[in-house]
Amino acid sequence: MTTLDAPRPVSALVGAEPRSVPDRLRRLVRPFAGYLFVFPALGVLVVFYYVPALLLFVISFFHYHLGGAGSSFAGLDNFRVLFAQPLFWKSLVVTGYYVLVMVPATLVISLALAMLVRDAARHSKRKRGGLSQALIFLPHVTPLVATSLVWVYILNPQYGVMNYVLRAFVSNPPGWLESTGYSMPSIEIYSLWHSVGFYMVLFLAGLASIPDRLLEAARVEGVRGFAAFRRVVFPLLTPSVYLVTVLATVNTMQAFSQIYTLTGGAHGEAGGPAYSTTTDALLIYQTAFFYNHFSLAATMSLMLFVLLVLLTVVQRWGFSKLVFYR
Amino acid sequence: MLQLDGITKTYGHDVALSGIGVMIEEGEFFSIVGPSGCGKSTLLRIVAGLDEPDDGTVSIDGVDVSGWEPVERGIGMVFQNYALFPHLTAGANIGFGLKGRLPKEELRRRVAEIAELLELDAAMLERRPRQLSGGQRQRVALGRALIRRPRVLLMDEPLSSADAPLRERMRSELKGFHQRAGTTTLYVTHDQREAMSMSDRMMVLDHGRAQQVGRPIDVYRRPATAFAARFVGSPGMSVWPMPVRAADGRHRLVTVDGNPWPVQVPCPAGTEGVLVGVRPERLGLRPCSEDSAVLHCTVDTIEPQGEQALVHASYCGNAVVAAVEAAAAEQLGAEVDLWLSAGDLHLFAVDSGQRLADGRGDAEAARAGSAVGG
Ligand SMILES: Nc1ncnc2c1ncn2[C@@H]1O[C@H](COP(=O)(O)OP(=O)(O)OP(=O)(O)O)[C@@H](O)[C@H]1O
Ligand SMILES: [Mg+2]
Repeated sequence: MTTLDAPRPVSALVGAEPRSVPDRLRRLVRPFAGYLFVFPALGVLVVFYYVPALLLFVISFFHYHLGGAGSSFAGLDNFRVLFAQPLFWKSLVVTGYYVLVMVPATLVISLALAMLVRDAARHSKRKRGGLSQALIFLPHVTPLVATSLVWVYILNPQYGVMNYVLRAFVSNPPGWLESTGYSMPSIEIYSLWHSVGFYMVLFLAGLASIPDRLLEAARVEGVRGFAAFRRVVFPLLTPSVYLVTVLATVNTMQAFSQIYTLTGGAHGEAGGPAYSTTTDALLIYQTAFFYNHFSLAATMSLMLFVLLVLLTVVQRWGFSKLVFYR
Repeated sequence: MLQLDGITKTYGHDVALSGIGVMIEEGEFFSIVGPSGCGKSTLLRIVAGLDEPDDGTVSIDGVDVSGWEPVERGIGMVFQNYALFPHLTAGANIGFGLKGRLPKEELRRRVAEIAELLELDAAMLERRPRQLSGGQRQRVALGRALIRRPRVLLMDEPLSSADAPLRERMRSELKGFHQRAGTTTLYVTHDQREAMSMSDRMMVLDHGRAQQVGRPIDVYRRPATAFAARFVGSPGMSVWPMPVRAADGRHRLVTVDGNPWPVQVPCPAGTEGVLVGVRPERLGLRPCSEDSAVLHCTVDTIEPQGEQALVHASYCGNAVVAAVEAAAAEQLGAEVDLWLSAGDLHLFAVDSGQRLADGRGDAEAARAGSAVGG
């Protein structure tokens, strides 16, 4: 009796040698190798980032006590309490003020610095702006808390360097961190000092990707200086402008250390005077760790997160109209 | 019309250009040709006003334009790889320089006029450079350079990024365009065939020195230097040194067998050798005249080219190229005897590479030849 053989797989015909054990192990592991490689980093991310984020989301719908004991479902209670808090709204205004000043100022100053550094590099003998670039970038690598403390002295109304210089020009210089009107600008000045170098480097990278040829072509057409910037450089730089806008928005909305330190967090005075510097981030911190009201802090964090997402979406949409040539 | 005088430019210790002088006539199509790095772009940029020379002057219509901006000089420029603005449409690229300087309607009319001249249709004007083909981009770049009606049009290797068939087509398009518009054109290329086929006159440049200025056919027939001889022609001349001996009171070339050859070499007493140049077409497999001499060569490679084949051979260690009939080339073994006629020889001084009047009655031609010293 003969049965028709089922068609055999090609590999079997070609000659299947017996495979060694390590070989089989390798075959077994190969599909998962990629996951194994990312696992350490991913594990850390999940444990310390995604899980807490998820917990935060959950907590904002609970009356939560540290450790979990005695917690109960709260529905939208936390949101109701939060929205009834004038301080919450005030902190939004303060944050908004901070962001609305910081983002445009960051864009203008870091772009201007980038242009200056590039021009300096172009006219320097060795065609590099390494030194000026490093000097402007330097503040960014200093620790926020340490340099903030230094700036507390610089901005001291009585014996600070800032006012020492200003007194040469005006009779009564501002009270800086000690006045409600100038406390936020003080923080903005510090933050710009600290971060502008970083954004400048992003712009320098963007500028470097614009071929000199294009500027020469513009010059041949009689378009130079600011006109060339407006008609050639800026349009081609919009990807960098977008990147800097988004990064600056996210970073300023979450700014904490320098505000905490500059406004006297060391003596429990952060956010003052008179709540003039109490941003969202500061209020969240105080609510959680000062008043031990974790669920309310979680709710605020959630609101901040939603706000950030919304802003980023809006910015994306806005720039999709601007970054048209991609 | 456009006059260059003693243009010199150095970058650090590198001499990019050295004493370039030439007068370009109204309506002329003038090419600057030379190998990569010889200073072509540098020269063009100096004419454009994008760079200043260390020494020398550029004059346009008799006016020294040193220190003038490109627009003030009235030049238009097509850049290597075009340098179109990627964020603007083709139309906006063409009108870039006039935007805001002309009323909108007038500008649109001018752009349309240029587009028609360059056979760019309206739909293409709405596209961005990346949506255009190489040939279309080139026409847009040309349009941008032409819309201000420049007195001099400068082009830096405008065809170098095109593939061979497109290059061929655009070459004839450019030439046709020049014949229609008659704009004085300074054209930079590293491809001597382009220069030969398009120019009224050309300058051969090497290491920042002008080797020769003249009509393409003159440069081809009577290269002024050994470099020009090697560079012009496809392929160029084979040039190699040969010994010279004083015989019958005159200098004679010596062939390999030590026989004086009836070629009179007009060189100073005491000269031991001379550079000999010969076109590949003039090297044959059999003698063609009374005064032919033979070179015993070893064959390196044979490069079929259809009707003809190029035989790359070595003669006493020097590379020699001969263009012979393909059928004959197929019969060749490892050795070949190449014949050349004394009348086809070009002679150059060993040290300077300058052409030597070859004593065969074309001293007059030598005088008319437009050799330009560096
Ligand atoms: N900005 C510069 N700095 C230093 N050296 C330069 C500069 N521009 C050009 N050179 C040098 O000058 C010489 C001539 O350069 P140029 O660009 O004119 O050559 P080219 O003939 O246009 O070459 P290619 O055919 O490759 O474009 C080269 O040796 C180059 O290295
Ligand atoms: Mg070049």
